[in-house]
Amino acid sequence: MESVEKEEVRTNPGVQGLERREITLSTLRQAVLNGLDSTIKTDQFLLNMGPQHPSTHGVLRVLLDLDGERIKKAVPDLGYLHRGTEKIAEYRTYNQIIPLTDRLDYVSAMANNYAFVRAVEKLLQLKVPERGEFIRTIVAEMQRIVNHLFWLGTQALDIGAMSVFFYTFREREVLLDLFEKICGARLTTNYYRVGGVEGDLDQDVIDALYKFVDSFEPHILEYNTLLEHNRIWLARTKNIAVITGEDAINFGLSGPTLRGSGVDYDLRKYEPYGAYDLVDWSVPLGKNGDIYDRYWIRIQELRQSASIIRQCLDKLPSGPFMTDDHKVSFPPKGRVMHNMETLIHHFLLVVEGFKTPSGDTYCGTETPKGELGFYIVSDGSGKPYRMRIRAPSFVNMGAFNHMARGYMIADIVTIFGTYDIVMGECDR
Amino acid sequence: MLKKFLQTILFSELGQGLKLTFRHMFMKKITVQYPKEKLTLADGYRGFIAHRRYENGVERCVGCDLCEAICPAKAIRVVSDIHPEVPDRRYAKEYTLDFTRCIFCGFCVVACPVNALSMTKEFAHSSFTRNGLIYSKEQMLALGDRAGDESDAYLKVKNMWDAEDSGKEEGRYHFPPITMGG
Repeated sequence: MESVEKEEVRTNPGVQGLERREITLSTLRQAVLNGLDSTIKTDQFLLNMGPQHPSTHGVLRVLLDLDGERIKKAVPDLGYLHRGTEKIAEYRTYNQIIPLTDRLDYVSAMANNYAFVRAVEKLLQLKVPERGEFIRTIVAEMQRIVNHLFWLGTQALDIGAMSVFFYTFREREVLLDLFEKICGARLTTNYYRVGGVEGDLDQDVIDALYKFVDSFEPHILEYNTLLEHNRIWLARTKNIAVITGEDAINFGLSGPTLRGSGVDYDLRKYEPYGAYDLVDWSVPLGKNGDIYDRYWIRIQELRQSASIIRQCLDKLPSGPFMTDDHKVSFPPKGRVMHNMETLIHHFLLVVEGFKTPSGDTYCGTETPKGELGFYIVSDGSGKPYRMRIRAPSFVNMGAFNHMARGYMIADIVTIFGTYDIVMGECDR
Repeated sequence: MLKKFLQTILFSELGQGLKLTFRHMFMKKITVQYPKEKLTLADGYRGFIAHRRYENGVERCVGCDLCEAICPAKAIRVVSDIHPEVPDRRYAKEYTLDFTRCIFCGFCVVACPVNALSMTKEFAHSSFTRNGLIYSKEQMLALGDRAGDESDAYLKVKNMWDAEDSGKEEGRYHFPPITMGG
């Protein structure tokens, strides 16, 4: 029996971190959990939170079963923002689905584009030019910084620290302006293409990125001055929403929510894609699995992302940024206008889309919120027969009751925030 | 230990935070007072979609339906017909773009084989009625006339200008810009 368990530990890289850190529920919380079934008789009190509550990050409704101010049970009620993305995708060609994925997790559209495009490329077994891979990595890390800044600002705002919100949005604005230069839009980017990216990184964008990365560390210190030792922040985040690494794995959590519990699992590291295996970076891990650790991890990830961007910019190779396989990518406009065969091919590509081999594939990508996976079943036509989205926010919500039980009603807002939940992705 | 105790009773970390906030009062302001001052948008900005004309003023659209086919939001409707004056040329008899549905992804511009569409930097349109945002071809041509060089700049940034650079009219031999009556 023991040998089997050891075998499992060796094969799964994620579980290794557990052996070093013994995480137990804090004794205070255990006492509270025991006390919930105490002899004091109170009436059952059900409280509806949301879907119109400003700090539920969208339209999330939670039914809270309360014992005084303690949460006995928290039942999330999802689906208020369901837009049927998976069903719409069955009637769209693969290129047309890319703008739909922008709207999944609308604060990190680039990451969603990347996840979808990678799944299709895996289906096609298509190779992306080196410069394309580097640009994708750079832009994905920019998006990670944007997302974590947004998270930090709103999380602090939920807890009551308003100024952090202004400072994080100031830096976020710089990156969004760069997105506008790169692809023409700030949020609904539609930048990644199957086989590469839509446009090249100009020299002025590269210069601006260098400038941003160089001046980023003082800004992180600024946020930390406001939060790191602030006693209100500590009281609201330390030992709140604790989840052990084992439970986190069992609930299928991913992203910073999982790494906060000390589980060393990051798809960028263990299934490297893009240019992540060509640069030097590390995966920050938490110890206690509480909200503060997840905050600390996201701050460290800001630093790691900035470092990845800088290294990628240093190593940025020249060459094409889009695959020259014109069975997949649109031919250049000049050829379309002057060459009849290219024109016919362009018509077919637009109307029918490119054909994928029949079969199915799953491809997970580490987005800022966790593992965003696309499962695509193809029947050999230009449209997916079925597309299923494994949204990290949705899976993370599964652990909500477990993480919220026993805490005060005022903590519920903090617990929403710690997932970095976005309902567009959760309800799809 | 003593230091930590002093820090706790003197609220030093709150003091540092307040110092930082106070310092920001004397920094350069980054807020833009929107209606009065406006940001310069990038050349590739995906704003409202406009129809373009050839240099001689003839509209480019040949009514090929490709924009309708690629539109992920199904916002475009094209009814094409034979040109009433030039029998060997097709044109869009009706062209409707529903900007209430449009998601500004820019695929219609990619799909257009004659560079008849481009995106402008116009982003602030509003209307009291839904019909006010459903644009006909004439309205979109007017948008293009107003945008002028902006629409060319968009195509240049998005690498779709190489065919135009060949310069000569006969270069575009598959969709010749036939002059009226000629």
